Amino acid sequence: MKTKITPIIFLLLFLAPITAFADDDDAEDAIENLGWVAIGAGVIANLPFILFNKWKKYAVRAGGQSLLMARQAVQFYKPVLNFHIILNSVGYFAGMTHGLFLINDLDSISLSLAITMTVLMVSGILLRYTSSRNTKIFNRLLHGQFGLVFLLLALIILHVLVGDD
Amino acid sequence: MKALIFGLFLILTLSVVTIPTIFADEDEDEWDDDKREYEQRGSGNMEREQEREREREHEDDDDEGLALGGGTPDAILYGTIAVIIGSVAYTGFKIYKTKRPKVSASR
Repeated sequence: MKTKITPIIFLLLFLAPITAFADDDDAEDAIENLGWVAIGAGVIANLPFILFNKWKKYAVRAGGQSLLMARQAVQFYKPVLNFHIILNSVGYFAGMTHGLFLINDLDSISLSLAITMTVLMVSGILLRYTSSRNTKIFNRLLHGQFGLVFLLLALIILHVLVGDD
Repeated sequence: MKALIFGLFLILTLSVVTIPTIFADEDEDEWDDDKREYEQRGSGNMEREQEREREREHEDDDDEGLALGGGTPDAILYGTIAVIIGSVAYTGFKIYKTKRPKVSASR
């Protein structure tokens, strides 16, 4: 039952950006809104996931009562991970659609952002769905690289600033 | 389940590619409508309109030139590619470094 529901939720969440089109009559504004949908989905998908993982690591290191709480929290890991994957996929496809609609205004910052998003998305997909142990290890290390996360954040901020001008 | 998820990703990717083409078709329709309008108005108006259209196209070309090819934006693109290649290389090096002692110890 659970496995049947997951793809349906996934599809419904993908339809979420369509409301961006419904909100505004002006097509250009709607396409811009798709970019905000991508940013919003990214923030909601990543902040809780990163905080959960950091807290879990801290609790294991601290020991005692925190360790017990961390062990109990293990059961929530999979739902949190699925939430992270689904919302990030929504954000990725919304962002790419936004980019394809505005391809005429393509600049180096947007292109850099698209490349970084794709690298993180592909490494995430390979990390989750590949069965090869070596590929999993490689992608786990690559997906959690601080440099890539920092680069993505910097490019999003630059993209928003340049887009506003 | 895995095949289903991959199928979903494929459908979503296709939708991302096809939706802009639908919009592109609409633009072509608009262009045809404009053309018909020009024909109805007569040749004098059409020439003036065409001139204006050409000027607008030149303005667009100038904008595109500014968007890509500047110094700082290009540096950002090269920097991004360098960071990605660096991350991949660093990850590979990290794995190589952790696996090498195990191989030598087993011998």
